[in-house]
Amino acid sequence: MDSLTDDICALVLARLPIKIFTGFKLVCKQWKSIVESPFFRKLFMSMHQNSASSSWSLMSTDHVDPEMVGYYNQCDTWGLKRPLGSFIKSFLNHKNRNHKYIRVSAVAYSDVGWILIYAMSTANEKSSLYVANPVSHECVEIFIDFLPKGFERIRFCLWQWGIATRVENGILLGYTVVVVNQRWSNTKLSCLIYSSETGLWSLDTSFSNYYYC
Amino acid sequence: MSKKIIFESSEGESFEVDEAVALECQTIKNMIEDDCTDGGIPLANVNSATLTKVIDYCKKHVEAAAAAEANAGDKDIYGANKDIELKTWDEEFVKVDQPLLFDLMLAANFLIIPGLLDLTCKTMMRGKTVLQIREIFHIKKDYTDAEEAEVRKENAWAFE
Repeated sequence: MDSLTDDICALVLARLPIKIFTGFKLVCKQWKSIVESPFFRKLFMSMHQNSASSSWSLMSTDHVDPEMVGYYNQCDTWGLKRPLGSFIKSFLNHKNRNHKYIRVSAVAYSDVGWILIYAMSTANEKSSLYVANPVSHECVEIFIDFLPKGFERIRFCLWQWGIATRVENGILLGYTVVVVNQRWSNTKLSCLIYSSETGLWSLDTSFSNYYYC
Repeated sequence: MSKKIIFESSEGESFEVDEAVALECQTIKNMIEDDCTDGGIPLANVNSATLTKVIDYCKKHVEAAAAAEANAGDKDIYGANKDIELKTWDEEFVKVDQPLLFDLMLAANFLIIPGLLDLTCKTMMRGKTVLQIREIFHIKKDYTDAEEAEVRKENAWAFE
């Protein structure tokens, strides 16, 4: 029982939900360094990749039934009993000390640890969008100053969000953010797509024979 | 009659199992494919008590898979009932003391039984506090109070 070597320890921890192994950094310095090591991250990714190295999720904003949110947030992977959004404010405040956030919601998740955060800051009521990983403490802001005509950032909160991430060896290589207009009363579906490769937002409208409901 | 495979535990005790059961272990599967299982497979780092449990697990999962296949026709699309039954069985299966659980995990890792490895790892640490973990693995806290506070602060979301 005493012989819990680093690799066995990593093997066990990587099978636990993200919240739990993050909490176990408190056990001792050795466990903290295991959880923060590139080897561990690689192991964790390999265990949660059913298909390719990218992961994809699409979910709605806060007016959805919390239980539904729980389901779509892959709570098994994360180990959360309530939406991650309710945990994330402290993380964002810690990262950006010069901002004061009034409202922070995690609007989409990828199952390898990345989340899309929509935040309202007190500074001129500005809203911001972040792609962040509370496990590895990385956080990137996505600029939403230049949107295609007819889209105001303030209306973002009424939309549905999705994030796709491309991760290799624990390093985020690229991501795509999709914002879907929720008022799909007809057969038209428009979405805003942001790609980290171009750094630009583009509008895509598609028509379908089906009603989205 | 199906082919038999003989395992030998670290104590030298022999265990005869159906080939289908042995195939649950990826390591053994490779050996069978390479045709080097004649005269038994010595498992120097798996003791008899652990090996008995491992064989139980493999048998159950082979039976469950066979049953699921036989019932495939009249099962609902989620295959719900069987899964719940097997899950309950798994939960009962790992209600053992920590040393045996630990040995089971090492055996699952060595024999490459992904389902058992996942089950034992999760059981070992789920629902445990940091204090309980230190106790189970005989780990001494090497953080100062200030350092501990810093780790808590950095990872505040995980402790909420």
